[in-house]
Amino acid sequence: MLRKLKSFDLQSQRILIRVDFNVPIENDTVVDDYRIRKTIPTIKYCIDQGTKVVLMSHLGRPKGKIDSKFSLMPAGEKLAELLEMPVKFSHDCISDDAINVSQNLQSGEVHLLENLRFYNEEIDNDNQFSMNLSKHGEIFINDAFGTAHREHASNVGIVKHFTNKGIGLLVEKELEFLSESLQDPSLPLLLIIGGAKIDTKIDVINRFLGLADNILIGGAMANTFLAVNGYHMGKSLVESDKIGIAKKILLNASKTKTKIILPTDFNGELNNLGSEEFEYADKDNIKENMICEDIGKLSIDLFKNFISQSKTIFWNGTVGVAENKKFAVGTESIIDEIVNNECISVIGGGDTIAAVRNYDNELISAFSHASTGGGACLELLSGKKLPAIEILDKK
Amino acid sequence: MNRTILAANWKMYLNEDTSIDFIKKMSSDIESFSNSEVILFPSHTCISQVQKELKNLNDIKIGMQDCDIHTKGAYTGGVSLHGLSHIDFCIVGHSERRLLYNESDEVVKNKLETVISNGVNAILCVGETKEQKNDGNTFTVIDAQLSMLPKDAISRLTIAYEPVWSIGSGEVPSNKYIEDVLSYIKNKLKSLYSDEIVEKINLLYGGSVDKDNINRLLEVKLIDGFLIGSASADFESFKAIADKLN
Repeated sequence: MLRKLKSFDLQSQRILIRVDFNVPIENDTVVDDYRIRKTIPTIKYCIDQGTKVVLMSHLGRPKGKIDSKFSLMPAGEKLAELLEMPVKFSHDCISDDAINVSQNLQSGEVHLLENLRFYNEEIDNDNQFSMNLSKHGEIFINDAFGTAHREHASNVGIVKHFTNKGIGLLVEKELEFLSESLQDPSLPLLLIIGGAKIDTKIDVINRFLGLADNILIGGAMANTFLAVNGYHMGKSLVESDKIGIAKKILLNASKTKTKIILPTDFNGELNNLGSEEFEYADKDNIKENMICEDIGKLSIDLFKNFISQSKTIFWNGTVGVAENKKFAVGTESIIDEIVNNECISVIGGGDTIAAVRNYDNELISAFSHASTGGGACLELLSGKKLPAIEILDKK
Repeated sequence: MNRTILAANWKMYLNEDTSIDFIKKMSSDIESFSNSEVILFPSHTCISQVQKELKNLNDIKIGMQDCDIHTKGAYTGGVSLHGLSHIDFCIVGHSERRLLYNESDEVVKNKLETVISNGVNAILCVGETKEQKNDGNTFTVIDAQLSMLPKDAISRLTIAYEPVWSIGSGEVPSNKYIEDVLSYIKNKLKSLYSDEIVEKINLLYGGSVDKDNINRLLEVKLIDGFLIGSASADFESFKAIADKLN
């Protein structure tokens, strides 16, 4: 059975928590502390329970070598700032010194270990490495949702070394919204899918066929679906090798109650990205040299109509090149419509969350849930099990 | 074997009480429809009640007899595809809309686009009037009516052939005549879409369909089902048609 953090008696216990502090760092400073903040409830809860807290995480891809660019030190500083208390830091996650620090922690103290991926053994799920890591705590808690779809030493290999193990508050919330909420959703259920590549989203779309009432498809992916229908997409990104997959999705959808809705018009540029020769066209009149970069006004109205009638909404992927303010209009209109609609709303994917925060940082809390996982979020929405969670579910 | 589509266009024959009464009778006699794929087209004002009454009959689909080109906004009297919870089908370009409400090809084209871009299955009605038939213009007329099909009709399209001169007249064309027209339609569709998609587009026949001619009409291999008017608004006569399919 999957144990939740709050089911443990934590008083004076030493707890080892796998967190996701994989945050962007520039000049030794955390430039976006979103992921750190999301784990604060778990850490605070442990501190309040009088627990000795050891935290471990990866950062970037240092490829098994010590590289100061990928040090978690700045994350530790940010954490201390957010917790308003000192945080102990060890420069090697499995050194005797580091283990000593953990074993001598006082109740309510926090110890952060250096980047797990300074060792290749982390990604290789090495047994000795996970055993060494396990010496840091008596209870193991996984609160790193972002890596839960990976089988690494710190989230999968380590589990067998603990009898007391479970999930943290963040993972618990992720599972509640991305998995349990789909068991009996309030209808109509809407899925909004965007982004460039069909491959990464195909399993989610297939899962929602028959389950969702409507699926809105935007982003460059929509170009491929429109190309299936014979529309000329100009110079827009079309995954020509994925036409068959897209066609199959459309044909399968027609056998279910699920309606797939595609954009009907676009904003973009002529000739090349960044040319600033702005162009608008409906799907029938896309010029040979046009690049579609955002959904147009008719599509926005179309999408808004579906959003406003939905009771449960899952959204992954922007409907335009949202990092460019000029082509964020479609995505921003969707944000507005969702937050103004009384519904369960779940968003996921780094680009989607970044788009919301770039638009209005406060709005992120207007969604019922904003997932911290990219790949893990998609896997759960596809109905798949996450290995790092599965293994905690076993005896 | 595929079930035969029975699209019941209730037109303006039934009110809320008589619609509900129809569904009640249908619920208690549902096995009569085991070989039919039923799509009901109630009056707009009755759709919600009919949907509620249909709760346990998941197999029965619901459609709108007509819709507005727009889905939202300042359009007095317009009926939006989004006004109702879940609509599977919408009839577009019915001869009565074309002739009595003066819907031009342009209007029909726009409605078709609205219906399809909103993910609703369109039943596009085509067919010639008596005059057009007598002038030998049947194929020209149908060609023009089909030329407005959008590219993305993929799996969201049904074509209903209704010889306008036959509707409500009791006069039904010969199988040969129907077959010629449906073949023409099929070929036209093949010029617009890939074979794979054309296979997914169902062809219906409409015009004075009743229990006495349905078996004869079913001999036309290209017919996937029927768009039935007045005979579908009376439960007993609708059931009699469905029974012929069993």
